[in-house]
Amino acid sequence: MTPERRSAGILTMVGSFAIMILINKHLADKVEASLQEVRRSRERILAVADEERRRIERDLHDGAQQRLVALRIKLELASERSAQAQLPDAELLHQFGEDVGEALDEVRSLAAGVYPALLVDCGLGEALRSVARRSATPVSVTAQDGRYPRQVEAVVYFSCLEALQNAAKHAGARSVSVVVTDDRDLRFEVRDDGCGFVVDRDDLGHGLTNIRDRLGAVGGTLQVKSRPGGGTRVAGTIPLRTLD
Amino acid sequence: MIRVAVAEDNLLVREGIVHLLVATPDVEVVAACEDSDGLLEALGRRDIDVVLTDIRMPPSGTDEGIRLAVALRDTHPDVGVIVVSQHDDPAYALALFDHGSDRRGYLLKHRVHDRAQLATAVRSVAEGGSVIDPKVVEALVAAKTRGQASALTELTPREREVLSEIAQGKSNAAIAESLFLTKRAVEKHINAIFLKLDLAFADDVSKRVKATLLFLAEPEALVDG
Repeated sequence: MTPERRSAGILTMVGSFAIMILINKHLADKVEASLQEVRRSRERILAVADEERRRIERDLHDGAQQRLVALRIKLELASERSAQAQLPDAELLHQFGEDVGEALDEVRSLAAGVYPALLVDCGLGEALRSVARRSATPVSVTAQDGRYPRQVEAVVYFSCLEALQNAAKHAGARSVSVVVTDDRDLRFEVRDDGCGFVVDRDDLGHGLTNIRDRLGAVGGTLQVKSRPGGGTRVAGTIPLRTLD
Repeated sequence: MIRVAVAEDNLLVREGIVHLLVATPDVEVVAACEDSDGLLEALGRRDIDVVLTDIRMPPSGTDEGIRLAVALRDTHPDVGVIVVSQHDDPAYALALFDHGSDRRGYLLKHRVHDRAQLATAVRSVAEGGSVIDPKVVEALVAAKTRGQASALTELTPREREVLSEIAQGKSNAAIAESLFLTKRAVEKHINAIFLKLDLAFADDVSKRVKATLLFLAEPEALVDG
């Protein structure tokens, strides 16, 4: 082979490489752009779902709840009046009032489950402590009173709630601890002393998949550690700087 | 006559509360407003002893009632404020009492139909006292009983009785009267209760629980201290 032909061959090779690198780069950019779009759309979907929950809570509060409160007052007044006039309906009206009270309790707990006002008003720490107070399984909560972007607070809140439900329902835990800390990232950890399970990365089950999806939408990650008989630790990390 | 102004953005509830108060002999409703601006205007126009306000009103629909109560402490120190709230979570009640507990009351909206309780609250706050819906405290005590069985089981039956009286917002003198005890004996029981509960309560909630219970027992001491 003459030196000229060899040079030409190398040149062609370099050329092909260059073209391949360019194509690769182009593809990589395209993939990166699509990934970014997927990330953004996940974030948007979560934000919309979040906003929808808040709207339903507001509607329940401003609508059904207020009407029931007003109805309860009316029935109480009617019952009093009947009693004064010594009408036999007094007791019945009072009973109706009690029934309305029960309906009101149901609507209140429904609204709080959809989106707790406490989370918006007082932040994660208070909202989680309130969950702990209502829990049948003893739950300890360690969390600062700091405030974070609304969406991040909702992700951590609903993730912890899901993990707590798992601990109570499936793990038969005797006690659960929830810890929320923030350095540059916001971290939460829900640890129980329940029966544990074998972690299957590909099939985490409905609850944990839910948590992973929520976290993913704000650029966060999920870590699950568990083994049969050894309790479960569900932890999440959300970068705070990218969300400012 | 105790002159009361009502602030509540929902027309049906506002009318209901006004009707409840109108049927109370020593109470006169002098204003019914739909938001804090309306209420502030009424305060400028008339002599008002007690304001009964919803916690959640326009514009933000979060905790206007509490903010109003805090602001009025400076501008109208003699006016009592009762915040009516849908939240039985103690965080809101404590936020209200953060700036002092005299002339302040916290009632739950789903229990506002209880006219006797409403009237008692209006009178207590008008006289400079403070009121907290017993359900808020009951919820705390119930949570404690579930969470740490030992905490409340350590109490003697008598101490439990005293605690339940505390939860109803009664003063030491009133507890002494209803349980046929001397005031000194009530104080001894209350000290024992706090000692026992204090030892057993978990760290992250102890301050709040204690504050609520202490507040209920001796509102004056908390303000002075």
